[in-house]
Amino acid sequence: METSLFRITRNVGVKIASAAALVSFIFIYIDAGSFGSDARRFPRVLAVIGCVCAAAILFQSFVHKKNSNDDQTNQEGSLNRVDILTSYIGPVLYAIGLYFLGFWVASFLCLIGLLVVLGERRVSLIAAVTIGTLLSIYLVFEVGFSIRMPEGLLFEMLRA
Amino acid sequence: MLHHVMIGLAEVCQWQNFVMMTVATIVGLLLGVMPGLGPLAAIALLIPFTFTMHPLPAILALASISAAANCSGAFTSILLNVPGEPTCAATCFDGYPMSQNGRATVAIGLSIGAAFFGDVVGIIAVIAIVQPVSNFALAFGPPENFALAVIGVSFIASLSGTSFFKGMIMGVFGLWLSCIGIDAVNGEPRFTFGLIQLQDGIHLVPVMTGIFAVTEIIAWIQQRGTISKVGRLDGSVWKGVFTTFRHPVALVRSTLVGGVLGVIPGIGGVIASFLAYEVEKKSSSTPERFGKGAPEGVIAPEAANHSAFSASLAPALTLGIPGGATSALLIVALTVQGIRPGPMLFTTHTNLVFGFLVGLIFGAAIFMLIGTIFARPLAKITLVRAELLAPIFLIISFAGVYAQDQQFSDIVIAIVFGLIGCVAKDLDFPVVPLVLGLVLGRLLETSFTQSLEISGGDWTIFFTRPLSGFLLLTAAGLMGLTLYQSLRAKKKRLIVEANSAVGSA
Repeated sequence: METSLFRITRNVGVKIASAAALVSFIFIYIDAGSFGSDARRFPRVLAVIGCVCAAAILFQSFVHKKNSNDDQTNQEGSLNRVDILTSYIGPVLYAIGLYFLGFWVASFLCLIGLLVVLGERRVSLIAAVTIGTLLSIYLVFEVGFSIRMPEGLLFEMLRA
Repeated sequence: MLHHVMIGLAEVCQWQNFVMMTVATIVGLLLGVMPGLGPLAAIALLIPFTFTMHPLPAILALASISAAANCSGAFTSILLNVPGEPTCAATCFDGYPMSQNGRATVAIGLSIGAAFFGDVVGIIAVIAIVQPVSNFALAFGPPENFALAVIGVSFIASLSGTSFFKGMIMGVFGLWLSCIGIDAVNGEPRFTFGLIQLQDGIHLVPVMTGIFAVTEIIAWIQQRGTISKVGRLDGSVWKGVFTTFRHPVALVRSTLVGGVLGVIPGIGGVIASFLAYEVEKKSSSTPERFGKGAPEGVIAPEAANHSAFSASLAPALTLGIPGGATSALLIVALTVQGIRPGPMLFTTHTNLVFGFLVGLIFGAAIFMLIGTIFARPLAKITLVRAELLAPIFLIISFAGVYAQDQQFSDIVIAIVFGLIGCVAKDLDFPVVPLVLGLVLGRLLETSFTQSLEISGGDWTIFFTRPLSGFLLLTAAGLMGLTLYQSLRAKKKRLIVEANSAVGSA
């Protein structure tokens, strides 16, 4: 079965993931050596168990009997490449926007951008969804809980 | 006792109390469906208003808003596969598949019915046997807490699905995540890599938002369509409520599990919901239905969750020991009103305490009515197109994550775990063990270290204390049973594959 982003089979993906996990747990074991004797005990026990599990998964992935699920591409309707990229990049871009532009500007742009990229063209619906969502968040968080949403680096610099 | 209950009934039967409970229930229900907000946020919102109120309506309102927010956490588990609280994570297993089959209203009805039964039975138990229940809570020291955490860890094995090692590695990863930050026992920073943002550790809300909400949003964008694969809502919420009572064994058994474990401060509710689910799955003659929309899969964790919450009131009221952050805030609210929880509470404030407990029963009934009214409108979320749902939910989720501690790093954590959740889903690694590991990790390590401090380094303390030894044996038994069942299932699968290979040849 293809993974949604990369054209690799699931079995190859499992090999890569378990190898990465094995290396990570070895690193955790080594890094825990710098802690005090009581503080390192639990992480080291976890690291050993993690290494054993990762090694077992890696071993199973090599001896795994190939079955028809491993190499088949997704038969249930092909996934749109734009959708896949949007799904992964959208949240990341939104977080970057939150940091630089602040919550309100980033959310405004993200809502409109995502709706348009995902195929919505009705201006009235886009406007209603954007205004409705932001207004609800404002009422619940800023008014209800007195939580100031982040202003963003840009506006903080402008204010300074 | 009956005399006190009648006095409590007279205290609570005033229109002001019912109005307060109704308003608090509606607010709690609406807050609880928002990702990142739950009972704690709901109580925090209401608590300033209670300072000028009379004690009984104040604590009834707080308990009602908390219970409603907890219940609606189950709604998000069912409708969106995003648990509002860790105690609602087990509800996702069968609740979300029911939504995907167009039976979201029935699933919500099941959760409401189970919640009502769990609440009522739990409160009656507290009224009837509050002192023995509190003494039972006192019997739990660090070795018993460690043993209980080990039982919780044993669920990782049974939540592993087809691959034991995949589940275990995710559980171990979750346990390791709980080590990040300042060590609770030694005060030493661990795995912070010099980042000040990690000094406080990895919090549960951003991880759960990432693993569940962000992963689902990414899946919605990729797959389009609606949550309900059949494109409609079948069944009614009352059908779900009545169906709950057609499974009396599951209902009573789960309520009992929740009632026993709920008195244990800290993690009783989380373990209760998972244990109840596991017990029902293992007791069923058709366990293959679980994970695909079995009614018992929703009834069990919800009944256990709610009876656990009710049971946690016993040590909170009589000993001042909160079962969690929610009951801690309830204790704060009581203290602000000039009422100190403790052994004398039931004698010095009899009317108030019994009025509160009887009022909770009415509160459970009020939630049942209000929940059934809101169920269908909320369930229509499953018919909204992903193109609309995904952007809205993304913004709300990140707002909820930021609202916890106002730290931008929580948003980064949510995104990172969202991507981890996507990769895990693609490669068939279960994510619930990771969440379970993160919830249990601190308790496991802290109680282990404290136990060794108490015993002077003697490991036999875990077995020489009867309750701890019994719980550890139970954990070993659960793991052994899970391993045996998975080996048997694998053997059966191999036989079927061999037969089909012979047949096709």
